[in-house]
Amino acid sequence: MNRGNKNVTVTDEELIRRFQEGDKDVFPMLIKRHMNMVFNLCNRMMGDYDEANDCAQETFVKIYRGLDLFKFRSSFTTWIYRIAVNNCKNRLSSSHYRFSRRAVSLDTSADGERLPVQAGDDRSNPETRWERDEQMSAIRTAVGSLPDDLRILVVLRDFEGRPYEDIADICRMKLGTVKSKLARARHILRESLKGAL
Amino acid sequence: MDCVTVRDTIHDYAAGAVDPGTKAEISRHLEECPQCRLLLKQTKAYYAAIRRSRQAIPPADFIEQTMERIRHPRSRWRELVSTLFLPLKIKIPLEALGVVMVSVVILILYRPGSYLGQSPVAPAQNAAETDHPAVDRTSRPTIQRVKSAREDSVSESAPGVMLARDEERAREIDDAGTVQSESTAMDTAKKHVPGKIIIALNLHHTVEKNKTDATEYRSGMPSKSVGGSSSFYGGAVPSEEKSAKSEGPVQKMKGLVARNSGKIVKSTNNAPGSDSFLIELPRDNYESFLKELRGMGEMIEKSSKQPAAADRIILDMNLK
Repeated sequence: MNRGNKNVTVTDEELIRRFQEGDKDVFPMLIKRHMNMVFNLCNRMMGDYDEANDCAQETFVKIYRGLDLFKFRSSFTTWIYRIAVNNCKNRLSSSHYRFSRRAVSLDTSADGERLPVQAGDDRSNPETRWERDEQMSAIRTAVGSLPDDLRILVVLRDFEGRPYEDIADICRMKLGTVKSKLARARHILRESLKGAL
Repeated sequence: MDCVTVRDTIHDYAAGAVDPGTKAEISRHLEECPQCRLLLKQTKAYYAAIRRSRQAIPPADFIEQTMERIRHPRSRWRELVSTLFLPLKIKIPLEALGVVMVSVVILILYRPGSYLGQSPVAPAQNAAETDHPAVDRTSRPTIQRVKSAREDSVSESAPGVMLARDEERAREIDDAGTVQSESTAMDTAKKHVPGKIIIALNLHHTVEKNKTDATEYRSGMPSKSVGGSSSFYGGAVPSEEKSAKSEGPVQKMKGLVARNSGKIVKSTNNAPGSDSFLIELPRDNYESFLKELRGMGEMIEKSSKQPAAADRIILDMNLK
């Protein structure tokens, strides 16, 4: 439940219970724990840093409004993913977003400007780095050109590493549907990435 | 294991997410199949590139911005617009469908010839065809219907217009609360001057040359002498030709009508000793006219209608 938060002693469940009992001040702690995950999901889905920022904030606003009704039937992370994915889907399906979207990127802004990213440990030589950047660019383009419903599955599975069962829960699909759609998405990706990898 | 199965599971194999049995089968196939080995290489490169992809960092004030948004949500109006219209891809077609459906309903209700959209030419016909209760009472004449009378009026008349050729009958229908359409009322108004009454008078009197008992004469020529609409409307001899024979009674009648401020619209000499008059008289003077008329002879027959309830009175009398 507390992925990437090994040092904290208070669990998400405790924070949520305190929130439900009226202590709304614990919510920034919940944001802090999950904002990277939500922000990156939104960024990969939307392909635009500002849109991702807006979408991630909106996701947390919805979480704040709905947290009192959270019944712990699914994990809190799955619940957050579901809200974020639905938020992204709504935005992606809006004609305004479609009209304004010039190019889809997974970790760059629409105008190609480099986004603030975490420093990696890429100590390879420049040629190798350039080759890897080219590969990543090809993958971004290929994933970005997938239909929205398939892109959501690829992001959740390949980028976020979510299990099939979780993806089925998040997207409210049958497990078989998730697998068949992912197979279709990967077939499209294979065709798009021929020669690039 | 064949190539198709391997292709379907190669991503899970590359990610190390397959059970040991499947992993062993795929490994065996990969040793034999160069195409699938190439596919595995590409898949591993794909995952390696994803793992190397850098994580985007949210803005430094992300938490503050979010909490500010929670504390000061967007205006209700913006929320409402957002709820109603976003996502446009889904909601615009739905709203368009709603508009089309409402338009179709309006078109069905108000289509030309429908009850609500009927032309004013045929209200009675439409009223007869349907028992729809929703009548526009402000813009159209009130239609009160009694089924039997409605059927009569529709069967006998042109659509929407009840002819007023038989006014007694029209009056009876009205008394029963039947159809009184706008056109009928207009016809009636044209026929009857307000405050006036029409009197159809059959007058029997003795003739100087050949004195005949009026009663006998009447019984001998019933079809011509007894009062009835046919006797004083149709086929009568013009009064000018025979006026000399009954000048006395005619003059008396003219004097009586003049004294009561009326006028003789038509006078007909049906036969020797039998005259018919169509008299127009102020309604208020009817009683005095009748009293004076009774003084002139014997009233044989009088229509049962009172002047207040009828525009036409039929009288049949013997002159002294």
